[in-house]
Amino acid sequence: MKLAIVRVIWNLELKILSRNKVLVALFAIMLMMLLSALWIGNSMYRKQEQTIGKIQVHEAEMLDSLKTRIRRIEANHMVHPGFIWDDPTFAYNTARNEGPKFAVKQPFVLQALNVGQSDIQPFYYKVYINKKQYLTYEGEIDNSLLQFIGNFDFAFVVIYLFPLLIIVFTYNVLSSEKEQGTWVLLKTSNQSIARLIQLRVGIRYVLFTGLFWFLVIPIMVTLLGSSFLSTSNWWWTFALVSLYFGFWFVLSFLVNSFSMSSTVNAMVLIFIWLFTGILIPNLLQIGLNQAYPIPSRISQTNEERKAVNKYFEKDGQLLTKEVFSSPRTLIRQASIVTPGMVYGYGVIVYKSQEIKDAAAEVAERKLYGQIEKQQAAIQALQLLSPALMMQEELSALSGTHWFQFNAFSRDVDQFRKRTQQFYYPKMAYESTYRTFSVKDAETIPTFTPRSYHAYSWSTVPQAFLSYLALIVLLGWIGHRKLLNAQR
Amino acid sequence: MLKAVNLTKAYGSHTALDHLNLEIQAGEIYCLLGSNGAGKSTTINLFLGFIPATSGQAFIDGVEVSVNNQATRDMVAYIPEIVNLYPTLSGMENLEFFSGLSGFQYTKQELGRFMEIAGLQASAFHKRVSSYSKGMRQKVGIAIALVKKAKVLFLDEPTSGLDPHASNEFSQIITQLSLQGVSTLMATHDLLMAKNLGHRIGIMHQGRLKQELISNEVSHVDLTRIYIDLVKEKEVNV
Repeated sequence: MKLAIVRVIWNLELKILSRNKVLVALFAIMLMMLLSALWIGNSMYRKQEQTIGKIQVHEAEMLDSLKTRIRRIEANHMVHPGFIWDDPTFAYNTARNEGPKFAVKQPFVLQALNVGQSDIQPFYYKVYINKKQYLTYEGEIDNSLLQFIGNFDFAFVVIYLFPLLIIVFTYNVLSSEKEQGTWVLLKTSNQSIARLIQLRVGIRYVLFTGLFWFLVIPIMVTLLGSSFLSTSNWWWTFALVSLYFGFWFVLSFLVNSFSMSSTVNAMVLIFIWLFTGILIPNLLQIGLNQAYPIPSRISQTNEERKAVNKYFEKDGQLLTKEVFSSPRTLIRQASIVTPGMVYGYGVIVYKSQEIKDAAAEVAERKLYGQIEKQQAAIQALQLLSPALMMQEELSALSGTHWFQFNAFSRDVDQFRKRTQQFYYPKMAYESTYRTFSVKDAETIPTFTPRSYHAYSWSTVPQAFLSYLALIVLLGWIGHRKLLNAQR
Repeated sequence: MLKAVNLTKAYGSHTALDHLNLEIQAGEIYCLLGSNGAGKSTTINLFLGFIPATSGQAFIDGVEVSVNNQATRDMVAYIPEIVNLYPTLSGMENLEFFSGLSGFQYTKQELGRFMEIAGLQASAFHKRVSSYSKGMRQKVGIAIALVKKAKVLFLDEPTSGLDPHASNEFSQIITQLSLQGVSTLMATHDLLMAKNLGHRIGIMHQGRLKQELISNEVSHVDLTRIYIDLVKEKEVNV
């Protein structure tokens, strides 16, 4: 097809589309929604950044306070004027009071596009040597991975609302020609009708996608700065969103090629949107929860409790005997709390914590085993729903996927173990009990925040190829259908 | 320029066109008369390649339509009973689009000239087609045929619903085109127009070309009588 013809069709499309008041109004409304979604996403991203800033200030203040208090005690011949359980020179007390540090998942700039799991999963934990971080929350454990349709954000607008706009944009590319009678004049032109319709849909795609990015990128740069432009995450996002739009345009082209009426075309496309965008993800959610049920939080706590009870019923007696038989730790007989008691209690805490943690690990393996099975099933079935596939990949590229929060949680586990290893020897140091110094305070392990936006684990390239393959396949079928209709 | 050889179109057991043999020379205006369902529009649709023939062949300038429809389309223009154009575009914009689609590039002035030849007033050039009368649309249809430099013009009830003045203007333009060598095949119910405009007249009934007449050799009264007799005779037989 000659370039001159492309120009002729381009001019026609520009005129027809710009004079369609309904379409222009719809596009404007959608852009307003997109702008609102970007603003909401950006607000959440900024709020997280602010929270992290406050955490950093809080941690610095706590450390200063700790060091000041230790110095004061050291200067006062190791006399702590207050309640013994607040004496920071006991490692156990510090581990409970000023000692716990925050583990933070730094928000990634593209999080503003896709809130993903970031409003469900904690992006920071205060890490204690005893409580497991996820057990500090009271709600029931859900696989939030299966909550496919999340916040009103950029991803939601792009994945679920823009296809509707694309449908309005394209559902009658061919049928309107027939219904308004221009089909006859087109057929007597010396151009292939199949090519003409392809070109019209193609031009609409370029116009739609071009205008979309032309408006969105400057808004994003204004809200988020331009740093995201240099990340591969952004360029994959750009490519996938463009291809996702392409998928809907080609699908509409295919439906048009069946030469049905505009009404039927619209109904078929809306049905596909509902089926693949809403129905399949919901069926998957129900089905996967049935196939791989998630153990409840109560069962997790019970597992821990049972393990601790079992220990104290048998081997635990040895521990208490060992700790409390010492003449320095006659905790049962004492009417006031002695340094030995604090020491002894600390030892019991860390010994029992090791048992709790071992029991919790068994329960956790059950939980994460189920979630991992669900995740594997979703990855295998995501082609059933282009919307679901898009949601998965955009979350991965924005650093808000369940997998990335899980990686963060695993790092927090490691950090907690490091923290325990730091405190336990100090808690069990029997000779003086009060061993925690300013130097120790300065070497309390800290968590290095990361944004976890790496996506090498994800199926982003596969999704890219899948969309591309779908576009080529549907386009080819549509082209064949139109060639037949032409004959 | 136009040739049909045993051209037949059947829809199941119903034969819409039955072994049509016809030849139209360059510059000739051939009018097909007949009642509804006589096969006039089917003939035009077969020449345009809109529908495939059941048997027989249709040729345009020696090229068989079913073999090289792309090439035959280059040579034809079609003006249906109602010329449907893009309603949100002006007449000028519609003309610009269809001429571009046919591979011709004209300046606005040249396109305006074609519109004038087709009889459209300059004040209407830039108005949206949705505000056009049927006659004005027909004129844009003629302008499209003009810009395409078509060798053959197919007209299907082109003056139906036009007022006498518009109808007369239309006839003059077709005559002009005929003088320039454009062949015309026109399906119509209008006996007077067929008599005045056509060089030859074919009367069709129930898919068959029943009689051919030379316009100059038959009066309007005779034509009317022949037409009515043919149609009535057949209806009696049926």
